[in-house]
Amino acid sequence: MTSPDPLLEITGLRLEAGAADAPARLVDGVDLAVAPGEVVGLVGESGSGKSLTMRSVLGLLPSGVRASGGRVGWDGEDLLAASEPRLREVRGGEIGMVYQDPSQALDPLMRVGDHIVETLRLHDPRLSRRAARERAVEALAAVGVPDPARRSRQYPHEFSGGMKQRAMIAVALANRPRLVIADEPTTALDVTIQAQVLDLLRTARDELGTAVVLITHDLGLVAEIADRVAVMYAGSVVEVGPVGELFSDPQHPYTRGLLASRPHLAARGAALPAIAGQPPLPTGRPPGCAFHPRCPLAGDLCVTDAPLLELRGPDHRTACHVPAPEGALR
Amino acid sequence: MSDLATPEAVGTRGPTAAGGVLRSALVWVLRLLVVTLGILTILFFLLRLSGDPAAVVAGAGATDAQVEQVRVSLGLDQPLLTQYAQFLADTARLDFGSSLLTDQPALGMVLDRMPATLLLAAITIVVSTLIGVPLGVLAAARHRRTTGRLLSLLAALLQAVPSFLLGILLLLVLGLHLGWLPTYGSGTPVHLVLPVATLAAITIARIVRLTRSGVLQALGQEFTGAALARGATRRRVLWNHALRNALVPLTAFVTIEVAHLISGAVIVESLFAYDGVGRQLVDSIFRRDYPVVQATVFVIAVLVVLISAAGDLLLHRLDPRMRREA
Repeated sequence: MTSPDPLLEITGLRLEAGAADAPARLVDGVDLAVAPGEVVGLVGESGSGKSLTMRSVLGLLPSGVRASGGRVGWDGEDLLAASEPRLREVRGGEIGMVYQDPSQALDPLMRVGDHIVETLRLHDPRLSRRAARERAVEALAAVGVPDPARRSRQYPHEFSGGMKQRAMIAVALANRPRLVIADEPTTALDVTIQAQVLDLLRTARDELGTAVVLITHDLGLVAEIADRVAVMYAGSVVEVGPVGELFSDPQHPYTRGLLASRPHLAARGAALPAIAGQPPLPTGRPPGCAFHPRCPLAGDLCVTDAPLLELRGPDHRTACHVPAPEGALR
Repeated sequence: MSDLATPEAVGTRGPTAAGGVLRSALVWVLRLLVVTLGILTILFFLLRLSGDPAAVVAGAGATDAQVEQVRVSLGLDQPLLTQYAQFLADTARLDFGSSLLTDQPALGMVLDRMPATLLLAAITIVVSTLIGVPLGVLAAARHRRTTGRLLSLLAALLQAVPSFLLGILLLLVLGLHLGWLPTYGSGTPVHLVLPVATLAAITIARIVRLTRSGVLQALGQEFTGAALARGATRRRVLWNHALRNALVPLTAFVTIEVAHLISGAVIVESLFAYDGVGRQLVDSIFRRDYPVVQATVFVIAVLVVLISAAGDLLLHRLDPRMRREA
């Protein structure tokens, strides 16, 4: 939405599971655009559909989940309609993936370097094993793995958590993708290591021009690294905008609730203002705005009509019927 | 896995590697000694509880005096502990004495029969693996479809059939009724078909089930999804990543199965009158031919320990996580 030519442009994406006549709507009309070289934070509670949305970009939905509508635009082409061979070119070639827990995402029986070798050779079969090995060592060196030649021959269990995530990022970046999807990349790591991982993603953007979608529930991470933020609730994007704007002037009551429920040193000892209630299950979404049962500002319209994303400021959109009061909750 | 908590450098090829090999070799020799000693001790006392060999050797019509004479000549009149000490001393020299019936050296009799049994076990395990692993992968890859369900159902059924029943069935149908295969004896390749089929059926069923569950488990883990996200084909993920991980428990199982096949060939060898150690063992037990029984059990025990050592070695090659433990 910033750039006239987004790299990734998801429009009206719907993902369903279960029986065709009464499906669970896991993702319900998501719009999201990512410009080349842009870092977008995708924020939401677990179950809000943020990971599923990004898996659909790679055509790697869990079995039983299907796309029932919308478009995943990738440089002009619709990936939802792409063939499996074409999707394989995209996976690991044009789009890299970083997982939450690197000790789960690396094959325990495969040398760390061979993960990179595999990625390289899958996308360039003419590349010799030897040349791929050399590039794997370089890739590990680039993400700050010390003694990369020796480390590339080691197995994942010989790496610490932080080193594993570095290696994972090296795998994701091996083919210089145009986009990296990072799904909670720091959640499983020590706080001291989180910053290093974020730095690596930032460096990839700065030096390779890689766009990054950072899936997270941690608003602190987003504030630190993202250019823009999209907030998801119950399968839809409820607010999207530049990070500074969204943090200083949140428009959607859910976003405001999220921001207010972060702990602050100043308010130590006081109870955290939590958002009342629970997010709805995909099978039992309320009519109208999915957030209305938990919303302090809900009116009659919110119960009947689902709001659409509307422009509220420069490049700042929100899906809410109620206009934000001046000087909202924070 | 214990080093998950300790970050950074943990070199595997340190200067201790050679010492580690020596140490694990020592551990294995010790294990071999302890296991064989344990088994032979249990066997020795069990056999002495099971009946009087002197009476058998002396024959049915022998007088008490004749039986007593045989007993003295066999050394069976000595106190049990003296006999036991003598037995251990002889075993240490690999002297198991001679068969009470044929007077041939017991160990020689066993070693003569061993190749036939080993051949049976080896062919069975190779055939079972070659058939069972691909079928198991297929059952996992198609686990939601008819092919996969049918395969796991068949495997479960086959596994539940006792081998003697299956053996009799095969013998009756293929051997007697259709007359395609010899029903008894050994020595030619066709004589192997029925015993191998009987033994392999259950082994295949077990391998199919184990491969299927191992592959399914690996497919449920994130690293297989991550391999897809690197651009790997589903086929590659199935065979290179999921099966490879499933091979670890599978190897452990196959090792145990080889040991089982050698010691458990008893039923099938007897059924098909196949001249292996199993059949000879059964015959010797009925005739109270202690030296042959002891020699057989000794050889099998040593083989089983050696096979599990080989299995452990293979596991260490397969799974890098095991290399640091041991």
